[in-house]
Amino acid sequence: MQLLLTTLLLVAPDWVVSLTRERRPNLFWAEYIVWPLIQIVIVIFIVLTLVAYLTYLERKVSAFIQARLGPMRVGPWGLLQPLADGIKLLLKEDIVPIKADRAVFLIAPVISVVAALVVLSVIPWGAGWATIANVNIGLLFVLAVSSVGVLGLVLAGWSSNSKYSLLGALRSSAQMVSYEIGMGLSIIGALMFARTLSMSGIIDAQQTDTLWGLGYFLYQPLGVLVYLTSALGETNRAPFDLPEAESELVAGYHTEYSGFRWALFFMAEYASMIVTAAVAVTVFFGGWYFPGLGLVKNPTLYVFLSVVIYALKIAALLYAYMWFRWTWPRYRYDQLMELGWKWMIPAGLANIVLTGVWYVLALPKAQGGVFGLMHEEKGRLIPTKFSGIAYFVVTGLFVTIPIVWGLLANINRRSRDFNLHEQRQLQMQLRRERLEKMLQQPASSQATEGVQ
Amino acid sequence: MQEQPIVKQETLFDAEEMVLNMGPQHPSTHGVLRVILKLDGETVIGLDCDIGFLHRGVEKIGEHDTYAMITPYWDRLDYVAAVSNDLCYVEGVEKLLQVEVPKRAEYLRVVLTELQRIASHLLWLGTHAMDIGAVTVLLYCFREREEILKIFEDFIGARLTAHAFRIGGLWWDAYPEFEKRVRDFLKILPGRIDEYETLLNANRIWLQRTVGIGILPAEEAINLSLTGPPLRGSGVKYDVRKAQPYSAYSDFQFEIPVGENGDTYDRYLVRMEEMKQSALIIEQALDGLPEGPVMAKVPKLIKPPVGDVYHSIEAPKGELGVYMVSDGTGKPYRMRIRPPSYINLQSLKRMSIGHLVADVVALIGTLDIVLGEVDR
Amino acid sequence: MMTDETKDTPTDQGSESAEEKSPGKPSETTAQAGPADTVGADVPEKAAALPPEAGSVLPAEELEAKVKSELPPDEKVKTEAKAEDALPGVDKPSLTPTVEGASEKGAPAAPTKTEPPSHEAAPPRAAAAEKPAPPKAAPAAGHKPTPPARKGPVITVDITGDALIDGIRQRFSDAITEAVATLGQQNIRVKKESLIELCRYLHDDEEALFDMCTDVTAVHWPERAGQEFDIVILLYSVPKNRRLRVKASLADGEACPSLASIWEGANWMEREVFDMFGIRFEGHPDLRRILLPSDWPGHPLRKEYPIEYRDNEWTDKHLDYREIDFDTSLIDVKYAERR
Repeated sequence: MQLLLTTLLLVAPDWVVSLTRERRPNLFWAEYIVWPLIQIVIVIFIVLTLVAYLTYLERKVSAFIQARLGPMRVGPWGLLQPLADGIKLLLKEDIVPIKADRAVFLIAPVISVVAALVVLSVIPWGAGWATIANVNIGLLFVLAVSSVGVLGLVLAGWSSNSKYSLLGALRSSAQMVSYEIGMGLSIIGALMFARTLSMSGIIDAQQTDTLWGLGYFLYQPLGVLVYLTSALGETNRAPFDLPEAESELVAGYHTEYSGFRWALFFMAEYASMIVTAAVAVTVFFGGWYFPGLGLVKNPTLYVFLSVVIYALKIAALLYAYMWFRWTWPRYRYDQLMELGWKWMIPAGLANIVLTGVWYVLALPKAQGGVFGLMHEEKGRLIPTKFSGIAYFVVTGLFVTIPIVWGLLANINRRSRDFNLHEQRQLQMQLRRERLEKMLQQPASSQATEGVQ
Repeated sequence: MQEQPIVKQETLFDAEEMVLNMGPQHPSTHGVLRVILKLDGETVIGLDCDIGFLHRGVEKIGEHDTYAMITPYWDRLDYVAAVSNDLCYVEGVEKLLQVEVPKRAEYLRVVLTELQRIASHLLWLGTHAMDIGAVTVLLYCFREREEILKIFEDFIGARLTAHAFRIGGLWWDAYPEFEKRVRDFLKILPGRIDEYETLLNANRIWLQRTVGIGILPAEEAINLSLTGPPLRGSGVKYDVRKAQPYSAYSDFQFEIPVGENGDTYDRYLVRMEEMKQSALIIEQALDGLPEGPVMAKVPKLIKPPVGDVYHSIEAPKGELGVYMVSDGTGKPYRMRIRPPSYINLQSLKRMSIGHLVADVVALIGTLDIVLGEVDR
Repeated sequence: MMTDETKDTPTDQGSESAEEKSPGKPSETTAQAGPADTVGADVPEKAAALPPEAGSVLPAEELEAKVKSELPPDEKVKTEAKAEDALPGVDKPSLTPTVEGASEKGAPAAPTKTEPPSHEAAPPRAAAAEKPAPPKAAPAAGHKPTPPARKGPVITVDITGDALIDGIRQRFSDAITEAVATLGQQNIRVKKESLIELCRYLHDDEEALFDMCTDVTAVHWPERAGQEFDIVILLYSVPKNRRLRVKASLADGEACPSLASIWEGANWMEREVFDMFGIRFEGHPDLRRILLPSDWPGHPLRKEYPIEYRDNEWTDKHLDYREIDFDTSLIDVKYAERR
């Protein structure tokens, strides 16, 4: 089914354009109304199906990590499980609490979902025309619109008329907002190289700037780490899922929602997961480019392959998200907020400063730089082959990270939870030594008879 | 030490206190436990436990059934570790009767009890980790526990509430592949425990959730009558198997792990180490398993002499004891169960005041309570 | 003791529950939540107003006949024969521990245990700890129609030669009424007035150092008039690895001093004793029911509380169940209101 649609995607443009050009001399309709509508429908259809199957994938991945099988009954290998879940949710009783604020209650999940889905319009699903709207402030648009989703959260908690839902909603929203700052700061380092906010522009920049077009993660490992952690915090995924964990006391914002409305919240969460993964791939991992893609000459095949590569990279990142969820315990709420404000944001800021320093130092001598490891090409500054690239890799990995680590350690030195591992390692080692010494003693000195 | 009663608040934005009810049905309370929390923001300033949802009157039943009929009731106390409960009771009766249990039966009892200790600690680890968020550990622990339960099923006939022991020994001897299967299990166990330790021991999130949570100094722990891993986590080296040895424990060489700081992390380490020590004990017991009968000569109708006796064992949850008053008839006059979970649960209040709400869940998990024993 | 009488028809239950209401009960039936205000709300003044068939102590002959009928027939023969293997030189076990005097003269009030109180000098504690060869079957004490002359082994002996017990005896000379050892486990019985002082001494003194209170429980001896309850305190000393039992007897309705100020762990133990037996503890910080609901009438572990008793005020108020008449068709179910 997916294949059919993507083929349609490939064949469509010329045909539609030719069709519309013959019927109407006005290109406006074709370029700006009909074609984008087709794209929107296709993208939404694919993404929503993907969201549904992401739940299936989550169950399968978690099952395999936990030495079990997951859904197997509904359809072969359980593949129709999301369909069954969707039908079940649609058929459930729609409960609206009596004292709830009805209008707000009904619109809150809609706001969340809409905010999550609107973002999909600027994401470069592939090369060329495989993006709905190639806005040149694409990245800013993504960050701005995904923040609107927080409103849906707060409204849901408020309108549920339940003390605990409200508290849960406030906690969730505070967490999301805190980690958004981290997200925003962490990608600025990469933007310094790309010099554009347009998503496709960033991908194109990576092809020329980095080695073989691999991506800015070579130059910005700290940015990648901060971004990924902040993305987990933004989307309320583990280990930051305390506001919505089942074993916690204060219920989440979606407690009073049943049936399809709850499914909308769920879809919003998974859609934002896809969006953050897409942004990470775009900014840090080279987007839809793969070394060797330039060998493909057929343009439609090029686009087709680029879409596939993009999808695979996002899938790898989503698999990592699920892996994290099922491996790590979850943070307590205050530890979570402390991580966001005292670790991620300082790291992001330090990353910006340090990247700026390395960048300025490497400017060509003509523009005031010291090392002169960049040169002008096609109107952009790119690092010179191998020496500039090596410079940025080394500074990003071996200089930035230790400096930032030292900075964070100093900021957080007095917090109670700082470096618990170190505190306990000594104790564990001493214990181990004591145990070994005792086991070597003869048995007679160990047992003590008592009066029973 | 007058206590302030918990105050009900009327509106959401009222002053500083909020009463939160962690109801009897909750995924993390390990049973039907109701905890009423008084909160100031997210900090716990008061706690009250409402128990008794699983109260079945076992002590009253113990006065109306004969000695042999009461044994299965003991399985249902700490239903997670049924085999060791039985050991406490049958040894108490054997003490009253002054019956000598054959050596082979004692060794097999030790093997079964230590297997049950490993199973109980595995379940504890799984549920504790799940409450804190590491869900996968639950599934892994149940995988190992499944092996133990299969061994129990083939030996005793039941997996969970296995009426394993009889007054005077065991009902059946070990089946032919028993030793081999237990040894096979012991071969895989160290690797699996290493897996859990790799996942949790040095994980910074685990450390942040457990280090420094619920610290109890040693004197307070003793004063609160804590026993078992919570007491040993606080640094007190008291284990009934070593202090007042029963069954065949004095024949085996094993260590008692003791913590230092008395926090949740130490209790976690103590229980992990206990699992390894149990594996050692089982190996020694299997190596030295003597031949012989497995049942002593005990009369059909058990009528111990008049008197009272207290016998306790080191159950996985703590010191499980039975105080039996016999009046010479075939039924006990009074059978008191000293429940470790009930007495350990008292310290929940002391441990959680000052911590955050999310820590209460971790503390209930670290005390390792089973409501069957709390309520009896 | 209560097998047949409680199978009543529904009509009788109503009058029964009316009888059940003990006099002088405060009329708070609604507030169930307040933890601090139920102290004393549900302790009846006397354990008297229970239904007549609620299992009081039966007369001796009835009880013996009942017990005899429960025994398998061959056991009686076996115990008669085995009684000859009784330990020589030992006459009678004392059923109820004595409450006055340090000797073992049993003065049991139970009608079934009418052995003559004769008892020889017991072997010292060391011998008792060696488990003198007992007969394999503990002979029945008192399960014969006639009071038997020979008894089973005595496992309770006086404590001699123990430094700690001697020190305690010296210090609390007449408050300690008995210091015996049962199978090596030491018991001391103390008068209620000196209980708290003795416990403080045991907790603080360097010779004793009983820093852990293992258990606090009670035993109900309804035949002992005036001394119905035995409070049993099990103590353990962690540094010295030593156990001790302290017993004190109380009359019905008398309060016992609370040990929660000495051992904090005794807090919930005493609450449970209060819940199950109705014994109040003076000085307890928070004495209320713990296992049973706060407005439950009666105290179950008392001997007169029947084991099959199902309907009482609490169930009337809180449990809404219906008697279903299964004779009619399954669709048509008859409900009988229980209010």
